[in-house]
Order: sequence, then C-alpha cells, then structure tokens
Amino acid sequence: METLLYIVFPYLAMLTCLIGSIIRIRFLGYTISSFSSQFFESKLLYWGSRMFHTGIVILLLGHLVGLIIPRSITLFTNHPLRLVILEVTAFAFALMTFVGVVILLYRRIKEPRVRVVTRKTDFLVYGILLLQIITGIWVAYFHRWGISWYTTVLAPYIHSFFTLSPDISAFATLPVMIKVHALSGFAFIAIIPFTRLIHFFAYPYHYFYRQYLVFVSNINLEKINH
Amino acid sequence: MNVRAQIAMVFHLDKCIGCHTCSVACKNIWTDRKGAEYMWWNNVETKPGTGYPTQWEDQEIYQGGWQKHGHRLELKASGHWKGMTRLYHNPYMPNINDYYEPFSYDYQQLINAPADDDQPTARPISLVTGKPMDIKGGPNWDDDLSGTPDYARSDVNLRDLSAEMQEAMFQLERMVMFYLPRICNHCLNPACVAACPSGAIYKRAEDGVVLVNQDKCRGWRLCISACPYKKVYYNWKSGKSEKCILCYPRLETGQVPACMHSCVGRIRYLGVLLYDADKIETIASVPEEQLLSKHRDIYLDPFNKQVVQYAKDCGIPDSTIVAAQKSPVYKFVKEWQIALPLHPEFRTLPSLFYVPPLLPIMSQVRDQQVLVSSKNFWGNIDEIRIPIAYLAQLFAAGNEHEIECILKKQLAVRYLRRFETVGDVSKEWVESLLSEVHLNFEIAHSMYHLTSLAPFHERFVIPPAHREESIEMLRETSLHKGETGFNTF
Repeated sequence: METLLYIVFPYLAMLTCLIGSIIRIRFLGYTISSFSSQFFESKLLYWGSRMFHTGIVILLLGHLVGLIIPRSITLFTNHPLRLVILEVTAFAFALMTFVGVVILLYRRIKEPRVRVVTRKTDFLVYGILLLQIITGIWVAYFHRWGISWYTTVLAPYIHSFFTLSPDISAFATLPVMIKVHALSGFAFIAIIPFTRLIHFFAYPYHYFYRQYLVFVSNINLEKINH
Repeated sequence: MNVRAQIAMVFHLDKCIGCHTCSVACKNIWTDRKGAEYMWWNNVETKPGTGYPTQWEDQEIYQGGWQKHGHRLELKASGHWKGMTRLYHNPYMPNINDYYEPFSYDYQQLINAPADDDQPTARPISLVTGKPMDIKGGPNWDDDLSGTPDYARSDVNLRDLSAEMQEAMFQLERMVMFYLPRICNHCLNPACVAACPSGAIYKRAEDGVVLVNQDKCRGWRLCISACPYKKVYYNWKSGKSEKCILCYPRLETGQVPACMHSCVGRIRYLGVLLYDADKIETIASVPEEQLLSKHRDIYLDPFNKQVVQYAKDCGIPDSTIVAAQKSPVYKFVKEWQIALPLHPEFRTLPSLFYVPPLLPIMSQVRDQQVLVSSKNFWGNIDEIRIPIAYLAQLFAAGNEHEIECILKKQLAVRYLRRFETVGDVSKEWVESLLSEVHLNFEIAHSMYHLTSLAPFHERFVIPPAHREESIEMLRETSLHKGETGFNTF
C-alpha cells in the first residue's frame, strides 16, 4: 500500500504530466488557452486572480528552490531570524493565495455568465487547489519550521525519484497532513495536461526578447519570378 | 530598402448610406459561431456617436495603440514588461457590457404556446446564458442618433470642440451625422501584433493581412486592449482572440472580401500598395503634426523604375507590381491625397483610408436662399454643417488644413461636373477652383470616374496569391489542420 501511494502514484503522476503535456502542446495547440473569463466579469477577478496568481507563483518557486538547492537553504535558515522571516512571509503568501482562490470560486459560482464558461474539469482544479492550500496552511501552522525540515526530509524523498531509487523511509514517518499535501501535490501535477492548468506551460517567456512586429510568409518568395 | 506589398483599402464616406449590408455579409460568413456572436469584424457606426464597443476611441479608458516615450515608440499599456504584469488581469480590456450581450428570440414560443386569449410573444434569449434577458444594447445602438445626449454628445472627438460648436452641430434643423464603416485596419505597425505575448498574431509578409494563429493563441488578451480600434475580439467559448481576416480565403482565390463585395453604396476600394518596411518605426514615431504626410511617404511609387527593381529584388511577384500600378487605393491615397487613415495619432499606420464626407455643404441655406454657387464659396467652408475640427479629430490628428484641402478637392470635382452637365458655372471659375487645390481637368475627371462610375474590376484590384508557391500547399495537410480555420472546441 505504501509503495503504491508513495512510489507508484508519484511516478505515474509525473509521467502522465510529461507525456500528456507533450502530446497536448505538440498536437492539440488549439485547445490550450488561459480560458480567461475576464470578458464576463472583471472586478472580482482583479482581486481574485492577482492575489491567487501572485501567491501561488511565489509559493511554487519557494518549493522549487527548496528542491533544487536544499543544502543552501538549510544553511541559510540556520539563523533563526532568517527562518522566522521566511516562514512568516511564506505563510502570508499562503493566506493570500487562499483568499484569492476563494474569491475566484465564489465568482465562478455566483456570476451566471462566468458559470457558462466553467468546465467540469475546472471544479477538479478548484478542488485539488483548495485541498492543497488548506493542507499547506495546516502544515505551515501545526508543523512549523517547514522550510527547515522540508529541505532535509522531503527534498531527499523527491530527489530519490529522479535517481530512480525511491526512498520512502523518512517520508513514511511524517504526519498525515504533510503526506496528504505531498500526494495531492502529485495529483495536481497529474491533472495538468487534462485541465486548464496546461496554461502555465504556455508562459510566454520568449516575448521578453522578441521584436515587436511579426511577419510570416506563406509563400516561398525566392521561387517567384524565376 | 525593404519593399513589401500591403493590401490596402479606401472607404468613400460620402457614398456610405449606413445600410449595414457589409456587417451582415461578414457576420454570416465568419462570426456566426458560439462565442463569436457578439463580434462584428465589420461594423458601421454613426458619427458623432460612441461607437462599438462603447467609447472605443477613448484611449484614456482602453489605453490602446502606441505612444512616444522620449524618442522611442512604446505600446501604451502593454509591451515587453508592462504587458507581462497584466496577464493575470488586464485592467484595460473591454468586457461584454462595453460591446453588448448577444441575443436571439424564443421563436418556438410563437408556435408552441397553448391557445390563449393573448398573442404569444417571442422573448429575447441571451446567447451567452441561454436565459431570458432584457436587451440593453446592440452593436449599432447609436445608429442615426445624432444629437442624443447618451450617444452623439458623448463622442470623444467632440472633446476639443467649443460648446457653441457642439451646440451648432446638434441644433434640430441643422442636425448632422455620417456613417463610419469599420473593419480591421491591417496596420503597418500593428499594436495587436506587438502586444501578443505568444507571438500568435502576425502580418502575412506577402500581402500584409494581419491574422491570429488560432493554434498559438493562448488567450492572454493583451491584443484586445492594445488595438486602439478594438478590432480584435475575445472568443469566450474557445478562449482565443479573433479578428477580421480580410476574407483571405476569398482574396487568395481572386474574390473580393465579403463586406466589400456586398457594399450597396459601392463605397469600398481595395488594392495593393508597395511600402518600405525599413521605415515603419521611424515613420510611426514622427511628431504628431507630420504623421499624415510621413505616412503617405512610406508608400512607394509603383511606376518608378528603381522601386520596381527593388521590389523584384525583395521577392515581390511581377503580378503584384502590376496590381500596385493599377491600384485604386494608390490613386486615392498618394496621387490625389483625398483619403486619410482613421485616428492617425494612434500611430499604428492603418492600411484602411477614408475619404472624409463632404456632407450637405451643397445645400446650405442662408436667408431663405440655397447657396449653390458663390464667388467666395471657399470663404464659407469653415461654416459647413459638420465642423472641420471634428473631422480633423477623426482623420487627421487635429490637422484642419488637411481636411479643408480634401473637401475643396471634392467640391472642385463636383463643380466641374456641374459645369459639364448643367453649365451654370463658368469654365474659368471651375479652372480656378481646380488649380487652387493643384488639380487639372484630367485628374478631376479620373477622380470623378473612380468615385462615381468605376466598375467592379477597377474598384477591386487583387493581386494573384500565387497559391502554387504557398508553403502551406507544400506541407502535409494534417500538419496545418486547424491553423487557418476556426475549429470547434
């Protein structure tokens, strides 16, 4: 059972995300969009979307940094003051994300026109997001100094996936809420290619260095006149 | 010199009767789909009026187009950095209420209603929610409503007009209005293309048509606020942006775009202009008062041997060069200089030009007399019903001299015809009118011909699309499936 949950499920989730996303981006480009509903409602979206996105992007980056350079983070947070500042900041962003997603959900349900453009998969996204954020806040509050133990307990667990030698010994002993948070995190990864979440692979980073005007030729001009 | 071809258009506003046939032709072909019902790639507005979407010209609300930032040209509210901060929420994007909520009627009720004392009615049904709704607006809700406070008097272009001028415009017996048909301008310096983070909007190099690649569009919506003409629309069903495609599938097969083909007043002209693509940025950044003349300068003379050679070197087909020489648009825009772009101050260098309306200047009534001919008629041109200042706001970034010149040219041609058909004005007088605006009998006659008599093939000169060389044709069909059409999701 533990193997199934802690090893097979994460692998399946990541594989699904990888293969699914490649297929969707390569062959189903037309189906990828932010699916913005701003056209129907703008005021609530202003608060909901901005709070949610800002919060979640910073939290995700935080998780990612902890995974990539766990040792530096451990060393950096050696100093209690730094740890406290980081924890409080992260907690504030978590609350902001929570408020944001609640506003967004309220908006989806309350606005009849927004409901029209709501897909069934959107509720799956909202469900997993809410679970993720609530367990995240729970963990941050009841199992404090997560920034410190995350880098020493969870980071090695995730790393072990990539070295193809999954090691769940430390993970299996963690409190249940942390496990739920981690597993729903993998569920979140798994649904990316099937939901609107695919839009974060569409982040247009190349726009920063692109020139403004785009010309595309449909005709091989060199062949004309010859 | 980097010569490119641009399919450009002229709309002769004096001939527009405001029948909306163009809008309906377009709607039937392109926007009769779920999520696109509210879009009118072609729409006709009454001026003065607020337009569609409401107040689209007011860039303080929508922040569209380009602005000068020192010497540099920057998008007003998007661009490399500013735009990226607005992906989560775009504060300048118009929403459905700025357009209108599309509706149909419950026609079944008329047939299925049980027998009763009252006539059954067909209630309006929202095409968004499918529920009964109250109609609050439509795409042409300002139609023929000159003088009304909500529409005509809220026109942004009246801002700089004095209160007396505005009042004079809206006196009941002098009420004035004209129609302004609008499609995508297929600009040389398109703000929508520049604002698109995904790089989905592009200009076709061979004919300058601006298109949205539906496979690449990710629904970031920055194009919608960036286009100062509000001619990019968000399809709420597919989550993609859509816009006028200048009926390119028709153009490629030598057919005229549907809006132009169906035009009852025959106000529309379409043809090729050659331009120098290296100059786009320089010309789009000149001071406001030079915008019009410099915009004209970007177009090259297709009869000039050197230009023709350059064009060939840049890979422009001979057939396109021939089409450019026959282009009616070139005549209106460059030779006669009587067609102007709409709101040049947005700095997108539109490829759609308008001949400003002369309006009822001919039947001006003074002291119970209809003034038809008068020796000092030019003295009265600033007393025409619609203030020149207003037209200048629309078509010349406030340059009244430009509008005056064009109206004088149009008037001179009319007097020439008056001389030839009625004969109550003298030849010398007509000659003096013509020479004042640097015209002669020959040019005036060709102006008259193209305006009033020109048959179909003279109004529309479409260069062959050379489909035999199109890359699309040489690739496997499955690879570009869905690229050019609008898929259903």
